[in-house]
Amino acid sequence: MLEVSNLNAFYGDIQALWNICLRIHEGEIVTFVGSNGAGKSTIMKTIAGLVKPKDGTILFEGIRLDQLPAHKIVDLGISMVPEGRRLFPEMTVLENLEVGASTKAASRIRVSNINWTYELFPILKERSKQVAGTLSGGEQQMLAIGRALMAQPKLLLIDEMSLGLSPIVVDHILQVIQDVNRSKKLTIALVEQDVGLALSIADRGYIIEHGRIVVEGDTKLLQGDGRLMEAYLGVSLKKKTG
Amino acid sequence: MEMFTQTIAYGILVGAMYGLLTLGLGLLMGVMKFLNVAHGTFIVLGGYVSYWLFTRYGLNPYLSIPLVIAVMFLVGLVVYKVTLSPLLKLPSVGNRLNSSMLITFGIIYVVDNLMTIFWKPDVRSIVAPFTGRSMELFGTKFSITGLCGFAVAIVVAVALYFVLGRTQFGKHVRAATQDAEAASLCGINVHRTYLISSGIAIALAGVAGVIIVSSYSISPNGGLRWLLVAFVVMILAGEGNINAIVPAGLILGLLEAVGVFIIGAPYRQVVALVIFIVILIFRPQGLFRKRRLAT
Repeated sequence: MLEVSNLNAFYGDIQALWNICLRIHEGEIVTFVGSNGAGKSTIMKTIAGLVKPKDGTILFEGIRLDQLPAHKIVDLGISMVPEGRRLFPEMTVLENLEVGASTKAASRIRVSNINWTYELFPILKERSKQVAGTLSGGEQQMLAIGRALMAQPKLLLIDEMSLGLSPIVVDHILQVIQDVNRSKKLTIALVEQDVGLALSIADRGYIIEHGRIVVEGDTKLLQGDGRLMEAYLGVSLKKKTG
Repeated sequence: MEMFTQTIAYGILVGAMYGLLTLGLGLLMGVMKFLNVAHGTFIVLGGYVSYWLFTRYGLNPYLSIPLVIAVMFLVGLVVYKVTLSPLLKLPSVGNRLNSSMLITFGIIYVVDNLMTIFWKPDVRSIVAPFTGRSMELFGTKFSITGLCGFAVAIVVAVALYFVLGRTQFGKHVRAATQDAEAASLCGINVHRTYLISSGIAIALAGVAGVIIVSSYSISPNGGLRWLLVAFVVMILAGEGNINAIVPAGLILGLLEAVGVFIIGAPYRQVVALVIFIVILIFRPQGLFRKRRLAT
């Protein structure tokens, strides 16, 4: 579905991504894990068109994305939930959702998608007239995901989903994400600080360090390899099971 | 007493016009953080377009408004494409604001001189059959041009409120205003939204020009006077608070009228500038807005 080859990206003079190659297959949940500043978010931003790569290619269903502006990439079927939610704080919940359906294709089925989002996150329906800036952190994350789903994506990128949220809220949101993944065959890529969490729901994982992919594989295998977990992610097995 | 109600009536009419002539400035500033110091110059240009249509074809200035809007909208598109859009590549909003000030300052010279070439440096105004006539409402005299200006200001402000608040385009504008990057992630073509907003902003300046050339007069370098008024109104409304602009204009018009009534006409601009300074010191966020919450 998505194929990234030999991607190099810079922030100013500093190289943030080195020769990244990865694939995302239809219907799966993929996760990018790694320490702070490893480049996980940069990979997502590059796919979404917010960061332009210096070289390398990104192919999505056969179409090259790497030089397209962000709004065109949304048109092709990739939505991103940005780090820190990035809602429109002075607009209502409903308006945020409406703006999420800004592409031509999505605006045609806006009403049914809004109802669907309200089914996924009933709290948003209760809050629909409320200004987004006044929502709690968890509600904001639900709205950010709902807004991204409004664009009718085939691939959903979620950057730092769990950051700053309580475990109960995180569990609830993950549940919804997994349901959508199964029922709608929606492909999902997650960037997560919480390694245990990410590996537990994803099918495959990439471990990123210093802007490079160091390990990739089935999450079951990654989780099973204690030495790997400790070496790259600072997770000891004891802590994880305890 | 009659003098005083007359003063209030005058303040309301002038105030509505103050609001109208600030809308375009407030839109560019609110949406894109462009400080368009050539705003007054575009007001004058809009006035000349209307003046030209009146002298050439005898077109009633108020009926020329749709044509002026069309012409000035195109001017706005060109201004954005040629001078303002490159500024979006600058790293910070502060850079963008400063640079837009310098660039539009340059535009003043170019457009001022072009207007001098086309229309000569003379002071011009539209003298139509209704100019200088007045009618009585509620025992108070209102000038016809003042009333027409008031009506136009209200219609334009309501239309803008409707466009920004209710239409899909308006939602795109507000989304891009609050977080341009997040807006692009929603599939919004932010550049196109900015382009059209610029066209609308300059068209709004043009409409104000029509009212000014019918009620007052224009000359190629006369834009500064209106720019200063627009600055005061924008600060009163609070930067980015477009819906508060016409109310803020009314407040300025009334305060000015009362000030002139008490201390005399030569101090008209002093009143406005004192208000400007007082607001900046005590309520820099404007009269209508709570201090922005930290996010």
